Amino acid sequence: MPQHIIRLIIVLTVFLATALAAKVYFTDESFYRYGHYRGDAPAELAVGDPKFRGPAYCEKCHVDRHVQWNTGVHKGVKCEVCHTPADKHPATGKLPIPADTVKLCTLCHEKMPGRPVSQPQIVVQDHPYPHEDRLECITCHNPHSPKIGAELPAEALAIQCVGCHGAQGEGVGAFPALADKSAAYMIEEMRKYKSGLRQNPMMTPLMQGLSDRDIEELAKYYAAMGGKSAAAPTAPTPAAAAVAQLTAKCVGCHGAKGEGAGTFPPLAGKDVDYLRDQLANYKSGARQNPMMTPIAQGLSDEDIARLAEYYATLGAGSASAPAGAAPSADPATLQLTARCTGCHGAEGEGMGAFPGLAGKQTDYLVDQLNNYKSGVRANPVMTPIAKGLTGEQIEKLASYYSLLKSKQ
Amino acid sequence: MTCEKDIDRRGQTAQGDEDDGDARTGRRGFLKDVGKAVASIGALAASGTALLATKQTAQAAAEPGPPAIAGYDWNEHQWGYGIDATRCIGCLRCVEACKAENDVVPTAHHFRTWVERYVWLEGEERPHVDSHSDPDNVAASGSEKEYRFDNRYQGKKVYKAFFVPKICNHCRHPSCVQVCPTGATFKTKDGAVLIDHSYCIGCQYCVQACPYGARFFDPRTQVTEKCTWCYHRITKGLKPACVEVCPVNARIFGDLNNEASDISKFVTENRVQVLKPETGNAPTCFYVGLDKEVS
Amino acid sequence: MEGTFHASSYIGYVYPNETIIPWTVMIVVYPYMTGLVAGAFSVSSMYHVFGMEKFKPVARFALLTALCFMLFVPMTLLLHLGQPQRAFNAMVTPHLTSAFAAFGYFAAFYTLLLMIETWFAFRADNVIRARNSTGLVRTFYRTITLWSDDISEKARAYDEKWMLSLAIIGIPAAHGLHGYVGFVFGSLKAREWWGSDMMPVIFLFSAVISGIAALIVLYTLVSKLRKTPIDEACVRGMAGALWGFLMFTVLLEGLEFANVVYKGKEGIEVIMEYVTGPLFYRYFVLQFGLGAIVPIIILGIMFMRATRGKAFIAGAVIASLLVLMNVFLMRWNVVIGGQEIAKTMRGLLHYHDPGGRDGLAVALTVLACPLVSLSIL
Repeated sequence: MPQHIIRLIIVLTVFLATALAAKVYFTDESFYRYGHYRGDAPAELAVGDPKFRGPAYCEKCHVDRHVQWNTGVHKGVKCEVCHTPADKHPATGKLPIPADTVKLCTLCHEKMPGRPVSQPQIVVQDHPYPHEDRLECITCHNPHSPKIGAELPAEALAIQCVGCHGAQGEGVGAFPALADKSAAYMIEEMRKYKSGLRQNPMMTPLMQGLSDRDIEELAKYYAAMGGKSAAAPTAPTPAAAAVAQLTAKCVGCHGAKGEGAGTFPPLAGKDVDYLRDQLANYKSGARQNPMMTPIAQGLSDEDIARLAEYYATLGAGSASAPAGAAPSADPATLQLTARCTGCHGAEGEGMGAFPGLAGKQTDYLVDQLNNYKSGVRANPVMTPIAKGLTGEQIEKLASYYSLLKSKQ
Repeated sequence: MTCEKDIDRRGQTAQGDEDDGDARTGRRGFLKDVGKAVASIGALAASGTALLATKQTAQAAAEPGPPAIAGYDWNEHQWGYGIDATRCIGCLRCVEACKAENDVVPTAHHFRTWVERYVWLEGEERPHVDSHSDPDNVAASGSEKEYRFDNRYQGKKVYKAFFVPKICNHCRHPSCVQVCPTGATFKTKDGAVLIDHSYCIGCQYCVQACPYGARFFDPRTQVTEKCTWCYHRITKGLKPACVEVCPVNARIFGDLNNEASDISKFVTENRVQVLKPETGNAPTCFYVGLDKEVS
Repeated sequence: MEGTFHASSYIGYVYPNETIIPWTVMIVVYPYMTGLVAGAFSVSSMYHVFGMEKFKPVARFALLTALCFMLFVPMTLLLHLGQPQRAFNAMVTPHLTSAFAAFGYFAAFYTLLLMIETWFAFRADNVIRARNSTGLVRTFYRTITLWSDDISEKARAYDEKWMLSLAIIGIPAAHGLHGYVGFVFGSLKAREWWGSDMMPVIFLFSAVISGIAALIVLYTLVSKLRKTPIDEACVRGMAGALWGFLMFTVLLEGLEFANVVYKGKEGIEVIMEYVTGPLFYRYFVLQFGLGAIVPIIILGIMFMRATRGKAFIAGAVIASLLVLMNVFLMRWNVVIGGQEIAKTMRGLLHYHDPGGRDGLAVALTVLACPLVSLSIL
């Protein structure tokens, strides 16, 4: 055979061998493990944090709003549909409260061929507006429970207020009394918060979640309490006014005199440096807490110093001791009580229409919670809460409250 | 070891499409044969210990464990998707949620899921069909990143109208997987059709092959994209974002292996249909409330 | 960062994702070029395998033409890919159920075959060039002849034998390659305009006519440039083959279209709207009329009247140019046309040239590359 052909064959063999070696070398190790694809690919594609976290995630902090939503006709419309995916919220900041409710609500409720008849729909131009100057759906409809005629009674709405304004609207610490105000005044102020004319980190979002009808109902409810209010809060001296304004953010949870409540630690009598450092840590992010972080971030360094000094000088002695020393309970139980304290008080002492729990018999408490859960007892607030509890959780809660000393 | 790897590979290649069970058994059988052959030679040459070891290695190669996904075993699930078109109100929250959850290209030309509107006007034979990517609907929503159907048929005499959500059908015999030249797209054991973005060459043959228009080419990454059933969610026990946000339960997702799951009930309690059954693709996305004109 | 993409305008209803047409003019040029390769190789084989002496003047030239086009075929695909640097994934882990996966191997095999055959065909010339040159040029020719200058009778006889075997393997390979390109389209059930059993056959016949036509044009052009006499018998032979195959191709395409219309399956309305609307001009008028019927008539008249000399050459070249246009339009009308009919079967898209890497300008440049390299060689 002529040498050029032999050489050609050698060249071809080398080429083929190189190609084959390259094929083996470049084949991913995990390829063919499950089939004709990289076996590592499925696990890689499963990586990633879900952005839509679901209502249970929102409920952890927004308990009252969750109850309202969960008992209304908008139950099927999950929080994140209107408020955008929670994703890393609250670490990444607030979620939007929709501004253009006409645009938002008509996505589902504009009368349109193709929508099933079971879907509530309106012809936008023909829909009645009681307040012609403010063409927003939330003027009349509570977005979390929008059905007119099936709104929550004022008592149920008021669970959002009692935490700060007291069970009888008597005012707590820096939080003003409501019971002594006129309905007209309260309607006006609440509308200002809602529209943004008055700005307040707690009141503004609360009011934005209420329809005008809700606002009126609430105002009437508190106005009707007139006189029942406890001692009218004394006007603070101008010097103390600045501190009072700052402590307004603390007293709701840490008590009027910094005595602490339930899971919320006492502040009174703590070391001034300790208090200052912790607030600074929350502010810088060194300590993380969904409630404390945003509050601390809203404080200047002077504010922090002033607050620390204030609570340190209050002294432990001046703080009224809690009604009953909280029995040692595991953190999980304490976390569960967060759903109860808003209405039943930090120590289960009860507030206004909401009964006390402390000192009640364990069996009684278990039975009642189970009744709510099974539907034997129906209550727009309790039923959904009880349904969210396991049998074990119910027993833990009952035993916790039964051990707390009753105030009565 | 190299030798076994080689055998494994050839066994696979001979099977061609290894997505169905037969191929798996065939492959296992083949490997067992190989194992036996190796074993008999080994018995002649070496001790019984060596023989046992060879057998074990061959079996280990035949049964790889599930992919390394924490708390998830794909052997336990067979996912399915349901759409009740009679419930859909065309609010498009699913479309918006999908775009946000999966960071889909924010334009009117790239969708992992979309919704179609079918409207017959009185006296007309063919329906008017549009989706939210229709320019008039984009104008009504105000931007390409918001989704809304305009009210164009208001005041017209409508004979019949409905909405139909569309999504990747995660077919049992996916034509996209069939035509992929590299194996960058594949069907997982739990039923999802996925794309390995780091392996895709961007030829877009799969985009052509999909009868449903479910795939698109991502201009940012220069590879093909599609619905994954939110694989990062379902492997964590959550539902796909579109199902999570649907306010009227028009979208159903669940495990077909579990008789009590929403999807199993949906399939057994209704007479379900699939899109374009004549393609032989055998979708695992089941519909209630389709119409003769929907394709 | 939304990336760049080119959305098409449309009428009727199309799936939202369909508004971006995935395959551009690059995928038109790709089958066009493989078609030219297959056609040119056929002409070369007529001499090398079937011993048709009248094709001898173009046999080697045809081989070189085929090689030049083949070398640039992968370029069209690479330019089209989103991730061209990963193209070898298709060869590292070829997915055997994919019509595309085989392409890498098939094309590589066929390119290799073409290279070896061309190497044999020009080996003696290169050996002589190596002998008559010095310095780097000599090193170059020595290298490509693999440092062998054996052009004895015996060695030449070996070359002939190898070339014959390669050509015999080459015929099915070339036609397989192109028939398979037809299969790439014909096997897609998702598109009514493509999913046809006739597609590979139509592709094959149109490939043959495009190859013959390209050779007629290039051969006359090269002869004019080199001022060598044109072998009229050879051109006559090619023109005859062109005439015959062209009629057959038109018949097949006509049958294919008649089938679609006659069966009138779901979606026929939109297909009729398409062919009588946007497609009418470039399908019926240009592709069928000017590109097929006119050349058939020109060639027919010339053969009937036994036209000779310059008139015949001129007529053959004109007919060939028309056929080249016909085949390009046929590729266009299949590849782009198929994508302009929406998968919804309720709408029509309008292809716009995306420009850039995937655009017409680059595609024409790629198409010109083989011609440039051919002229250099």
